[in-house]
Amino acid sequence: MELDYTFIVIGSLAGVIGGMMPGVGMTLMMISAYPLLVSLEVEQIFQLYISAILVSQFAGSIVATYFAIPGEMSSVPAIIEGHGMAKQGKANQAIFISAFGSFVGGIVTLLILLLFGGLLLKAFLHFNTVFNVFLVSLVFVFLFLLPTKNKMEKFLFPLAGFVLGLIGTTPHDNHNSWLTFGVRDLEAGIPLMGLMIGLYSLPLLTILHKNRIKETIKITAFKFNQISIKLYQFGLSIFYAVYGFFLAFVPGVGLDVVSNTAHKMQEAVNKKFKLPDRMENNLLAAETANNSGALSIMLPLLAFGLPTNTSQAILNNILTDKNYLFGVLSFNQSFIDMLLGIVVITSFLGFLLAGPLASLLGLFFRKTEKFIYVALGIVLVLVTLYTGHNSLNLPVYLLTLLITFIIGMYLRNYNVLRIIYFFMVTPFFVENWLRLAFMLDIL
Amino acid sequence: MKINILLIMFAFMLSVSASAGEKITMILAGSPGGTFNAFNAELIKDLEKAGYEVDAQPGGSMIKGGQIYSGLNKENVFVFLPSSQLNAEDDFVDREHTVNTTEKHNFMFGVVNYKSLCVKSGTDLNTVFNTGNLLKIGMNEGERINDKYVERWNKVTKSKNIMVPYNSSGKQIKGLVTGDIDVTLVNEAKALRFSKEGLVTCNYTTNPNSGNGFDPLASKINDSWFGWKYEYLLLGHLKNSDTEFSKRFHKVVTAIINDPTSNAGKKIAKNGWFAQDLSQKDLKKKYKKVYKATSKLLK
Repeated sequence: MELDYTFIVIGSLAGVIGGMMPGVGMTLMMISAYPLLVSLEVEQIFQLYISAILVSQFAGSIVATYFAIPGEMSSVPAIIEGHGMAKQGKANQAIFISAFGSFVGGIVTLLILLLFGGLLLKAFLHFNTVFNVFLVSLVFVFLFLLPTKNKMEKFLFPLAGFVLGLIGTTPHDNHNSWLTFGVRDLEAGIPLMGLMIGLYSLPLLTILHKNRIKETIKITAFKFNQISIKLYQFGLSIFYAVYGFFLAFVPGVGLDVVSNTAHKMQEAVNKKFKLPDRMENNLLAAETANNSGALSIMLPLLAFGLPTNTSQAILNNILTDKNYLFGVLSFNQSFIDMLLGIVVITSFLGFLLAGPLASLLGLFFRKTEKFIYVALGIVLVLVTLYTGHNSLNLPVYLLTLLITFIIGMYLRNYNVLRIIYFFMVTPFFVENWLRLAFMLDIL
Repeated sequence: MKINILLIMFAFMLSVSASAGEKITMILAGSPGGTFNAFNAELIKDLEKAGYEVDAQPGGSMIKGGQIYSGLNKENVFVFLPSSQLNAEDDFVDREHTVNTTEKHNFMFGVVNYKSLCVKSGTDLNTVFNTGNLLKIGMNEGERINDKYVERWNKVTKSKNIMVPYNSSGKQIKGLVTGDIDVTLVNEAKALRFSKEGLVTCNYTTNPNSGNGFDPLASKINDSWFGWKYEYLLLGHLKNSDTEFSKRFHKVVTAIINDPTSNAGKKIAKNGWFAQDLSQKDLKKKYKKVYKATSKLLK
């Protein structure tokens, strides 16, 4: 796979926008870009998506620091520490620490890939059905054990996601279907895009539109004489980069978990060793782990075809439509070389955007915020309907969007992402369990 | 010599039809990045060179595309898909035919492809024919057909092999490489691609006449069961055309696919498919033959 700088630049710009969209970021970028993505070659899609994901981690900390809203859910520590520092008049230092941490995260990822890339290729040869069953069961248990508000979130949401995920062609044999009740339009399954937009994105955008920026600080131009980094902080960032990379590789562990656990760990380290610069260290830990995890969180998708977040699920849909073969048949040295190239470029680009250019991006966001959610909502609905029209399944897309939007508005104070996660993982779960049963001659 | 005749025929067809400037609507029945649509894209280039005005419409999937074709009332509508197999499956579950135009004048051209028997590279393929085996065989034909093959295999080789179902040929190859299965019957396009990459070894084919460098499976297994020689037939269907148009289009498109230098011809070779040089009458016969064989496999 050769590097195509055009798509890396487009992806990076998309990452800036995605990273700055509170809470919905990359998923909405993927949906908005869907009509473009389906027309691209597989290599171009990968370069665009990976660049966007990596740069979005840099950009997420900008809105978190200036406006105390998390661009990505993994930016919550950036609100606590970054915005806290900004309120003390240290916005530039907070922005720099975030960008520096993210940069180190990217470079350490690069080194890990260089050192262990070959090993990863060999490991892929052993990722068989037994391994997949173990892995996806772990994901199911992990998702199930995540803390919830009540029993409905705990039991009903996973069940709803599971049942919805079963509708359509059977996951292990595309000559049969389940729960379609003779409706051939349902053979392609419930459209992920309609479900996600209706159930999660549109209700969230309405909430964000109502609760626009309340607390803000004065945005001043980035000045290098206002920033500094200590040697021990450099050591910390390397440790958290390694931590983030390996933790995010475990399917089901999202970047929010990576970022928040790094933040908590550093908080404990600060106390134990009575380190100075508490807020800076916490911010550095979270941002570094977050950015190095941004790439490794993709590995389960690349290795097994198992999406572990919603933007990956959209990517998975597009690539599956293009007959892309995940795992050992596609992940080779040339793919790793492409990843390395993207990490280098986006690390420098992201550092520039989230460091010296952060104040400009912050001002831009503040000026456009009142339009952004409504505009985004309109774009999402139009793209969903357009996709439905193109896949000749418009009635199913429209109905899914309408029904799930009503349910989503009703459940807007609950974590409906649980439904979506279980919906996404169910086909992989069922396919591998059934195949294992056949291999053991149980079925 | 045969190629030269075809080239002359092809050039003739181009010159005849170029002056016609006739319009056809082509339904792209298949996933956007799939093998069928990649072939359709090449065929469109050739048809446009031949003077046809092609209006390509997305079909989403094979079934959806077939349904759109069957429901469309425009003039000169064309679709390319495995209609004999799809219609046989429809009859088996008692639903409307995916492709409802199966008269002689509806058949434009045919392409046949086969499956190849593969094992992981470095494994001796001949051992899978031993008696008393307990192998895992990866199949991708739907539960009923999968079971038929493995049952027959076990009967012939006096073995207790197990069937493992897959939903794509890529996953079958992945299953071999990662050790899920010991052997698989996979489409020849994938067999050729991954043999070249050194991941799998494939020596035998369901093609009774050999082809793509593989030997006939039926001879190797020494069994006359029709399933070892089963053909996958892809057909071009045209509807709402007058007889003259249909005849002319059949000639043009048959010449295109049989021309190894045309875009579609190159794609056919790359996919390991076999273009058929058949009259409309013979295409109908072939449709019926494959329909019957599929029905028999499904029962």
